[in-house]
Amino acid sequence: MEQRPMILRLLSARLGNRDEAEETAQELWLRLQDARPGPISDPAAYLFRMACNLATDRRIAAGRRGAREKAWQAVQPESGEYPDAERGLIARGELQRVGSLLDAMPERMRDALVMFRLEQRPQKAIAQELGMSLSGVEKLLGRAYRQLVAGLADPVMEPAAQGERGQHEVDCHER
Amino acid sequence: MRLIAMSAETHEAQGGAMEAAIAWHVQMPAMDAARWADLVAWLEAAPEHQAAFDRVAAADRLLAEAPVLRQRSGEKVPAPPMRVRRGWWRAGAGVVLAASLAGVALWTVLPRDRQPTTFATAAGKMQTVRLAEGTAIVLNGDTRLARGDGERSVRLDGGEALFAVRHRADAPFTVEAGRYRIVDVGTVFNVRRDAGRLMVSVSEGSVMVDPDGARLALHAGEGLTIDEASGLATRWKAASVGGWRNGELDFDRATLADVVAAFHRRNGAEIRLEGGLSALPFTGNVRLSGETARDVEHLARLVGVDCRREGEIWVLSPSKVRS
Repeated sequence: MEQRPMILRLLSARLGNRDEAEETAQELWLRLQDARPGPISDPAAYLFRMACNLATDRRIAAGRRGAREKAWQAVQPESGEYPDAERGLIARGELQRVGSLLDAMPERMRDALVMFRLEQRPQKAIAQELGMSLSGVEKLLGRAYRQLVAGLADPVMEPAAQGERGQHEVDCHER
Repeated sequence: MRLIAMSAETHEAQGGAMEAAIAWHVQMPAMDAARWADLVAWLEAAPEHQAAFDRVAAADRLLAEAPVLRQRSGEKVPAPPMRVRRGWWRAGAGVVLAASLAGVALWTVLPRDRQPTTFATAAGKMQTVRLAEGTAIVLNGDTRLARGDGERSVRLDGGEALFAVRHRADAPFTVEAGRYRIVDVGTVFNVRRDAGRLMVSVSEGSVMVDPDGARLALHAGEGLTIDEASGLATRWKAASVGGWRNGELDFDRATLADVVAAFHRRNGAEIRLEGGLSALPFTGNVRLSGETARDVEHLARLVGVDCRREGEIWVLSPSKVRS
């Protein structure tokens, strides 16, 4: 694959470790063998996306291991063992927190986020659906992510009052 | 009005690696290879970029598995039809609504002899049910399915079935499973219901799970597990949808108890798990040979546990030999 060097750079930047990047790239090729996806419009973009997701899974697993074995982590290099067992073990508490953050969002913002992330619809379609401009959707999604990241960082903090550059008019007009 | 999308770099200039990291995530689904190369360069430019991206990526990952399914009962008021949103689904939702209204009306008018027909398979048996219009349903073993009124709806009471549905926009095919509904959008899909979980995976086309509530779209190659008690939904990649018909069982983040349940459905084997083996994590594929003894022993070797036979029952227990 001609994208391999760039994929490796992406993985190295995400994982901060060349060895783990190589290992993850290996896992990526293995998965590509197994997967039998339908026709893909942009195979390179698909590869990058998949690599990016794998890296995130590893980071999450490492973070969890890190929390458990902080003392070990200081002396042991990241092994990357059992990624499959670790993957997907996203704590229920965290998921529930995301759920309540979503619930706390204005309906329009939540709709946009659900369409964007869960239904994986193009932003153009979301814009059409919500009767907004494309840039309006982008800003709305940006604000949704901001609330999410802030809310996850600090569970007590209310996901509101994030002063933004005059974006209020964009999502406040209900039909 | 069509504005040029604000780029991640612009956000960067306006301040904050976090802003840029968020912008990258918002753009990501539409990024081509060149744009990905830009992202790599941005990540490489500063450790703060990497850290910010990491945080947003973690949140984004959680979002993908967020429990947006809510209990049907309770305070959630169904939206009136005029306010149903979500583009491509909008037409479908209207149709479903119309169809269900029509269904209610018909139900009161039709004589009682048009009750649903039920099908049940014993463990280890399969059965194919053909409905009008070319829709076929393959029932796995230990499965109970009821045909609804008309030819466009069924109810899965328990077990597993693969649906190959001839799509009709004016009459979507519906599977009811507990308090959830699954509506096809032109499709081959698999539904399993056991141990308080509902699992849906799509081989071709797409389906909509819980059209009245969360409205989760599932496309080819995707799977969804719903814990029926909590309403918590988890997405996964569906590798081989309906592979069980050929004895190919595929497990992703499952437990040994799941594997044993799948064995039982498919080949009728009675397997008991001892010593906490039920919760043993299992990810991977098992190919059944059709010869139960061989398959159970193979499974035991695969996970490194002891296997013995007590009459008709196979017993798997933690290995006594430490290697």
